[in-house]
Amino acid sequence: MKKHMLLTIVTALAVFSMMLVGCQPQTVTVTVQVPVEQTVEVPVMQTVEVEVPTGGEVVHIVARCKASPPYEEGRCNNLVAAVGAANQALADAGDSRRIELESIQDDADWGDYKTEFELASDAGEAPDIVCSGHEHIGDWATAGYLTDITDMIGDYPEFADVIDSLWTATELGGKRWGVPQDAEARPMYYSKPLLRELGWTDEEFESLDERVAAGEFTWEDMLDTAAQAVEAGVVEPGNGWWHRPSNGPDFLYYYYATGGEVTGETDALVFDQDAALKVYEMLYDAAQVRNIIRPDKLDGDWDHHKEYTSKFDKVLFVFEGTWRWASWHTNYLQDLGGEDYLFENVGFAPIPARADGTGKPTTLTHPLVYMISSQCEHPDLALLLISKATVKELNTTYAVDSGHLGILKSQSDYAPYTSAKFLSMTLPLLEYTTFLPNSPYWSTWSEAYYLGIQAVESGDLTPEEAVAVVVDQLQNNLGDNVIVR
Amino acid sequence: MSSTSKSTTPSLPSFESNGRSLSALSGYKIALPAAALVIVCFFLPWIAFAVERTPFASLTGWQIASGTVLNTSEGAELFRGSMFSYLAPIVGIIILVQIFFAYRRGYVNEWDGLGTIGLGLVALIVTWGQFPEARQVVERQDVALQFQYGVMGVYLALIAMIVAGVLNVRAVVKRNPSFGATLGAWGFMSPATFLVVIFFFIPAIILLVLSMTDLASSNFSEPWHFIGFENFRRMFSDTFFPKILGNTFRYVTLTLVFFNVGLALVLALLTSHINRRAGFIFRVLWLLPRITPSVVYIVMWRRFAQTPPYGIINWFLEMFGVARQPYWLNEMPWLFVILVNGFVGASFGMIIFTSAIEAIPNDLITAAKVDGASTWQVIRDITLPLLRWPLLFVTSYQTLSLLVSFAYILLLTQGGPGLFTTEVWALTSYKRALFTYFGTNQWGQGAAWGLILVIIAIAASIIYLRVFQFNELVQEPKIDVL
Repeated sequence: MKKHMLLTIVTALAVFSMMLVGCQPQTVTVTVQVPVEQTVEVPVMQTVEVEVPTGGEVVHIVARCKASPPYEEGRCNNLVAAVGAANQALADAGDSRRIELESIQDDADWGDYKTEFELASDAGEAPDIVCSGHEHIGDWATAGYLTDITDMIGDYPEFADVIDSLWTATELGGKRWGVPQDAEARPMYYSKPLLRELGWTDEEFESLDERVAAGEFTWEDMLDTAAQAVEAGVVEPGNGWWHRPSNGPDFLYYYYATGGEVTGETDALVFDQDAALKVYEMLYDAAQVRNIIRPDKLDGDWDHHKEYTSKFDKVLFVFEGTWRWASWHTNYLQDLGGEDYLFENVGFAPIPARADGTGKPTTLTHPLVYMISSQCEHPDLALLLISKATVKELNTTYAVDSGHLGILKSQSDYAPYTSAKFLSMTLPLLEYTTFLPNSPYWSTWSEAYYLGIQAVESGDLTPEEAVAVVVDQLQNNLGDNVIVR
Repeated sequence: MSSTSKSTTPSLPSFESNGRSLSALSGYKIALPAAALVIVCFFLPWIAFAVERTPFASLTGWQIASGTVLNTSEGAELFRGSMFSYLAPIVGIIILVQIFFAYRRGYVNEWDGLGTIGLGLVALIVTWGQFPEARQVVERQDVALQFQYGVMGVYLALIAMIVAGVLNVRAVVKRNPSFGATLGAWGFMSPATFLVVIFFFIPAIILLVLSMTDLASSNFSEPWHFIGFENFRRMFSDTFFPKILGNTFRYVTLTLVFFNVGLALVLALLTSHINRRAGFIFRVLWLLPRITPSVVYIVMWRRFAQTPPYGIINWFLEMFGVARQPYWLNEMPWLFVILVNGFVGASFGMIIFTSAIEAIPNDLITAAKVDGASTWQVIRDITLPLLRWPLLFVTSYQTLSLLVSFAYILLLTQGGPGLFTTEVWALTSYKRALFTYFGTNQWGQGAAWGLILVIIAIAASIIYLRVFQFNELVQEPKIDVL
């Protein structure tokens, strides 16, 4: 009897505790406040059926994309939409083949997504078209997973419309391995109310973007202004300037701005000690000496970062991506007027020039590219399909929905694009853009370089020590594949 | 002397084989033609490849088996490329030798029977493994029907061999019933053995081999390049090697001492010395961290430590008018790492210790109380001495699990803040192999870091087993004897 009672209690408590556990995520959802990004990762598959002429051949093509639903789904959906045009082109050319497309799209993590393609390729089951970050060309082209499309691009007139500089991102070893799908930029955002509080006139902060573009307002000026804001109590210590809270492409333009180079004449990557030292000195100074940025800013807490920066009432300067604009006003500022609030209170400009570096303003673009698997049996058809998706109508819909920049020259005077105010205002940022290198060694280089950034910001190492440690890490892990200057 | 060693040896007992066993040999009569077919199928092409450019060079085992001779270098290439094709003839030779000796002897012993079954199974797996490749060739040659007959023939032959093995074993068991008992014992152990082999031994060997390669994302499509001990050289010359090692030591020791053993013991003692139902409820409460999904659990902790207006700690500080309200996780990362893991880990020891305490006969405690012992005296002089073995078990088991655990640290701090502040060994291994921002995986390097953990774990296990004399743990419970 006693045992019976005990069993009943155990069961009741187990059920009760499970209910408790089940209840906990509700609390979490309230505090996290990013419902848009908490998406269910169920692959969405679509198949387009086509009519085939007598004696013709149906070619089944599989496309794989990663996209945050629903904004970025144009990545694969544009390919689906392009099937009709592609088949029409085949019919016009008298080709009896017809494309049947299967698209697979979800929001997997980048690391998992990349590994998935590698495993699929190794198993001989790679999708024909894969849409991914351009830097993956470094590994994938080297491993022989991609089709070299250099000589095929000329066969498709649509590709002539792609902004020339974006092709750079698709190149490795003098060959092109993909077609740009989207683009973005990483501007410096600044808070107009906080600058006003610091004593700036309206005229001064309204012209800031132009002064940055002209190289008159430099990175050093930005840090001085941020330091003044901290000293004057306009912002709390550590809130003068913020960058992202974890590793990512952004930190490379810090290095570019000081005159650093990553690629050289050989396949080996380059590490310029002077350039890196300048980056580390600047960050050490900002975090450890002048209280401009929090020493623990690289804590990986994106939720806090996004929410805290959204209103621009606490942090003066923020280095972020153009896509963050949409995230801020959609997720955090709906009650305050949404995008209008941002236009009223926030300005944006290219990343200011380093006076002791290149002297030129900068930014970095990280385009996604459509790539064709080397296992694709009909690369010409895959590329035809991509070409029909690389048109201003389809790409503009995607760009406007997702907050990405256009990739086509014709979009600069295409009304649906230009009427999207933020996109058209940020498109000129591409003039200053730089890219990540396409190299199999890039990931290791980046991890080591970022280690130095973490070390100086947290105060664990001095800038000189950081450079020494990074050089040691690079040489240890890359050997002959890195040239230290 | 010899009989003593026989009785204590844990392996299959050998026994005197007196007289012939015709029924057993009849098992081999079934096996012989079947084995011969299999051997010919696999062995001839193998010889052909070994000497190269003979008239047989284009033959594969499958082609002979299926009664078709396909003059295709592609088929030969596929066959040569398959690692199974080297294994198959070896299996065939062993079976032939076995049959030869069994006939010469005139009777079968236990190894004949078991050997035939085992090797028959291996050959079956070999065949199975070759099947898809062989089918690929056949599909291109349009000889599907012959191929089907051929495959059926080989499968039948292999099954006949296994049946022959079973017959032989039966014959041996008839003669020697104790062999049957041994066989039964091994049979019961085999599922567990199988799991250990599949999920520990084979992965550990793969890890060892992988750690000698430079396998990474950019050369994933190529055959493995062996680079000797280069990964280990890199690992040992890594600037942060001592720091990560120190972190691992600190993490394991502190969590173990203060929570997984320390707090677990305190909880077990407290909850078993209060009202039984209340104690039960407290234990269930302490199980909550363990059954909470890890991501949810970590999000709760992060919010607990967060800056205003989210952080719960800071919310209380504000109530008391404390001005300094930082992100506490960054202020004292180690405290949080230990607490987060400790709260989860304490429940394991708590349950083990509680069950041991509950198993102490009441007579002992009643007697002590009659003699006037206080609760503390009962705990100190009766309970704790009787918990010696559970304590050792929990200590050793939890050391090993803490050594390889990193999930909570990954979710909480990712090894930060700053420079490897809370990075432990298992986390480094994971990061090298699978977790870089730009997704370039260095499996070879990660395997080298992982292998060190395997070595440490094996060494620690041996030390624990020897020093703490674990054999005594698995004997009759000491408490019941008292």
